[in-house]
Amino acid sequence: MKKVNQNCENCPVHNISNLVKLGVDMVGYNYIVALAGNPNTGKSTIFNNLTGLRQHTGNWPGKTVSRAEGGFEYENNKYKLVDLPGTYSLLSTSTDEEVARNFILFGQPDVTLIVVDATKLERNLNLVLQILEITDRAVLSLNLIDEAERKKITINERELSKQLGIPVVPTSARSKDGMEQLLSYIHQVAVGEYVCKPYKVKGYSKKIKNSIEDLTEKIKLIYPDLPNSKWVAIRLLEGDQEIIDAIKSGEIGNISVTPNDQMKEVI
Amino acid sequence: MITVSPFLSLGIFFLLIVIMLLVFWPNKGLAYYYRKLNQNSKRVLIEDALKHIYDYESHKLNVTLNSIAGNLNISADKASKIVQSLKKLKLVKLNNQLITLTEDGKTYALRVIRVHRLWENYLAEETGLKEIDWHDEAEKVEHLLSQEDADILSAKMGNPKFDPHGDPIPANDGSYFFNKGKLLNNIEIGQVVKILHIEDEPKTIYTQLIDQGFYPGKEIKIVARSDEKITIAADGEEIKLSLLFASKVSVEILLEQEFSNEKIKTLVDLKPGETAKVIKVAPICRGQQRRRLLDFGIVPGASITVHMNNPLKDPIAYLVKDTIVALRKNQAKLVLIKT
Amino acid sequence: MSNAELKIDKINDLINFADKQRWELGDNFHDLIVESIFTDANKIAGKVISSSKDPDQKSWETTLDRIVTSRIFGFPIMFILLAVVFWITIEGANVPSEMLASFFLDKLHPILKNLSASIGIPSFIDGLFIDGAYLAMAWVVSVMLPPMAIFFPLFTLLEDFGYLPRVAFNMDRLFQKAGAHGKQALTMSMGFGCNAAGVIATRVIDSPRERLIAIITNNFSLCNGRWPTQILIASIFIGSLVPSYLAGIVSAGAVVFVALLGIFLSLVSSWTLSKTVLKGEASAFSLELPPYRPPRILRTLYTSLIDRTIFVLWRAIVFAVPAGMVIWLVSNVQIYNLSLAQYFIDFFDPYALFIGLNGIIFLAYVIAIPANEIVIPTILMLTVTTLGISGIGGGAGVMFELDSVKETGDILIAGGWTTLTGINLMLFSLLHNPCSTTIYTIYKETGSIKWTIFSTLLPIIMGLAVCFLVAQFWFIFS
Repeated sequence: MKKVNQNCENCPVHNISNLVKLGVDMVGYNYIVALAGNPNTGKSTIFNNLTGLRQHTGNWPGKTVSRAEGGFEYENNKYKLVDLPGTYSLLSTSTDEEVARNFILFGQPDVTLIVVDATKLERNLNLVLQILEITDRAVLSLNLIDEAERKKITINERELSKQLGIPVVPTSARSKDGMEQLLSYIHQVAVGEYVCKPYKVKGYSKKIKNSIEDLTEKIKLIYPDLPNSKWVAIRLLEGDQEIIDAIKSGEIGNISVTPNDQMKEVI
Repeated sequence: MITVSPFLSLGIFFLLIVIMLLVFWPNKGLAYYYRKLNQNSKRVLIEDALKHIYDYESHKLNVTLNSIAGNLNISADKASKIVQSLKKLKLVKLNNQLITLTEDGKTYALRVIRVHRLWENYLAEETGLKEIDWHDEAEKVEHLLSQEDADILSAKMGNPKFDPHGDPIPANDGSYFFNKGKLLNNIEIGQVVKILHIEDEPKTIYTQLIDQGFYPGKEIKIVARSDEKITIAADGEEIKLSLLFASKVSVEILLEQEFSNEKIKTLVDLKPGETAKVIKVAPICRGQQRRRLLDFGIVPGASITVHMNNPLKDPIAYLVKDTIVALRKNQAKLVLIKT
Repeated sequence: MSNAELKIDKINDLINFADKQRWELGDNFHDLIVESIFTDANKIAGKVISSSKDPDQKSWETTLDRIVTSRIFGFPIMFILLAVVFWITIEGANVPSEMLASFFLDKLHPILKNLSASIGIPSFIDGLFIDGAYLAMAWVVSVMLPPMAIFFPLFTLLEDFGYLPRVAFNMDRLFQKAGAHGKQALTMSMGFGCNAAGVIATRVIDSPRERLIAIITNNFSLCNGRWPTQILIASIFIGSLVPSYLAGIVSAGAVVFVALLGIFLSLVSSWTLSKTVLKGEASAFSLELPPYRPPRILRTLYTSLIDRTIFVLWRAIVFAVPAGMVIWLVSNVQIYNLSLAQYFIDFFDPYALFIGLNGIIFLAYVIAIPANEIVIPTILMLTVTTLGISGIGGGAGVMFELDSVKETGDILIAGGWTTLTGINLMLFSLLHNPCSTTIYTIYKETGSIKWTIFSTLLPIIMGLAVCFLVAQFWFIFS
């Protein structure tokens, strides 16, 4: 962790003074950042660090009950940060998962900040891979990295970033380590300086692969610009009513490929 | 102060308690019977009759006044009245003594069946109700839920296609597709099959099949058969079934399937400190409960270790994917493992 | 066909195709998707994670886990920790409570009274706002704030450290038998501090049915506001039954008995609820044991003060102000020379005496609904005004407490209290409606008027029944 800090301090982007915590003030924001992650990974602590708000945190899975929103300003851009309910997955019918899933898909955040517990990376990757199926713009916060170090777990974050195709930042939200780098990457992804090439799940078993592919083709015929047609196909096969309705109403066609549409509108 | 002998007041008090218990005792109290009596309203009888006719037709059996009276447990007189109303509503056709459904009647019957199966699915997926109670609960609800309610319920559950017995749930236009499979009593020795469906009526047979560990999705092998009995092997046990019982189970023949009849272990067999690989979560574990286990990373191939016991021996804490998860014994029993 | 129609056609075709595929895929599609994702996750994790940990070497976390869940030490550690938390709360709250009370009640109250008299505020307004609203609020703050400000941070520290989930793990079997969730052990313990906070704490139970059970039965945990009532009444009426050298221990035993009765009834009602009214509610068990983490003491202090103490206290104050006014009004508004309170008491006295209580207790429990803490002051005030005793208390509508247990006892006995009244008051204090703060919190948490009313009525009905039974047997054997 200390190493990261030193690197940061040498790096020209590092300037935490650029961060202005705006609390609940979210007027005239340029970008929306969604905050997603498993329960009890320190998501709320990161939210509090960035916005200056004080959401209750605790050592219990599932402490955040309602959706929280806050704002911050960085490098002269205003960001709205939306704290999604902590979930292990985005595939089921529970309300929490529906809220998170629909926000990432239909809310089209400019950046999705995914917080994972570095001591339980494998389990957390389950959610990360699902999010990367939906959105192309994400930053990974490898949180609780100090705890992982204490448990003698080493994570090659460069390799992880290469594998996932998104920026990976080791953080320790409790001691506010890594926040600078996190902000810088959020900024880069939001303005399009960093173009993510997210990992897409490959290992679908034979039994379902054909169905998914056939359906994806059919969706592409109708909505050729849809960036996440495979995910939509999977949701259709899960019988997700929200998706069926969105396809029928054509709402799904509004999901765009090009980032920063909203920014252009604002400016 | 009110001056009543304490003996008298206590007597009245306990009398009141007894009366309350008599009235409100679940499934046996007077309130229950009163509700049941009311349930025999015309709508309920009509819908039950339609269901019965549909059921018989799909089994290629002849529907008569007697079969309706017998099945609905009403007098022949009443049954004939019901059939007259059904005819007036253009839901059935009468041909000599034979009663058949019209297209409208069929759609109506399928709608009732849809609600019934959706509700069974809801009970199985979301509540802690035992499988024995699913059918009876759904029998009540099928007459209460409107089509709109059913659509909302279906959407909320991700438009399920099969009920917990393996029966297809018709879409809201009544359409459905069903892999009927074969009945277990017709299967040859040596074949490995997967259970598709278990008939939930009559309840006595269903209860016994469930008690013997049958559930849709289970894989079994037929090891012996005679004119009266069929012997199957599953999970390292051999079970003898009468052909009547076997005829309530539909199965799909698995072609290239290696079948091991070793006694399959579950998580409860694991001792503290031992590690195993997950084979699968038993199909009987459904809905919420199943999704929780999957979310924990309890998926085929995952490695799982017993972390610790508690002073009361239940639940047990397991280490899976670097997370400590406590599972109650009745959950741990549903996770099949190999060591 | 137009383009739009063509598109609609294509879309319908797509949905139908998806539907057909679903029939063919059967019902384990979801499983296969999850499995595939985990397979990929496993591969990626394998590439990036390396662990230099010696697999045979046990971490201190594992060792600690073994100890706190061991057969021998598991429960003793739990009871000792909880006992220490309660002891610190009760002992630590005494001094600040007295300081706050002497400031708000003994100093500020007379000053306010003098001030209002000197600028000529009519006595009606003065009584309503200063004796009624202000006094109730001041009372609630001085008795509720210190124990909460101590109890919640302590509890939160245990929670942040990661010990509480282990308690849930240890206790789960007991609650499983009652159809509830192990985490209910925690919400119950929280309820011993404050039922409203206990109800909020049920958020950690993620299964709807078990959460509802925990909410409805939380009121059976004898909250902080009821302990002093129990101790006072036990030392007056139970302690006096035995020789004086045993009085202390016997009255303490009686209080503990009432608290244990609460736990017992909580489990029994959980069981009954899960078997009857809540049988068909949604239910699923899961319990994750998070890693131990060093608690951050300052942060914990801050958040538990803001999120729990101030939050609950604010709700209590909101209800205390109007209730204070009502308390003052019912004792001061007179019709034909009798106060409203007197009419109420006269009307209910025969019924109340029949079940071993009295009309004043009934009235006190109705008007002191904002907080259990002000029940005894209200009872004393009503008793003194009804008996027309002069020289004690501050007059009609002015709640008060006495420092001396004996004098308090004398007033109550003068008001017709017997040992039976004492016993039944202790039982009724355990088994009556939750305070208005808790009722409001239940409504907020369940979002259902039905369950709010149910949780309110269930303990009252049980309380009336229990008092009735005790009274009848008392009449038979005395």
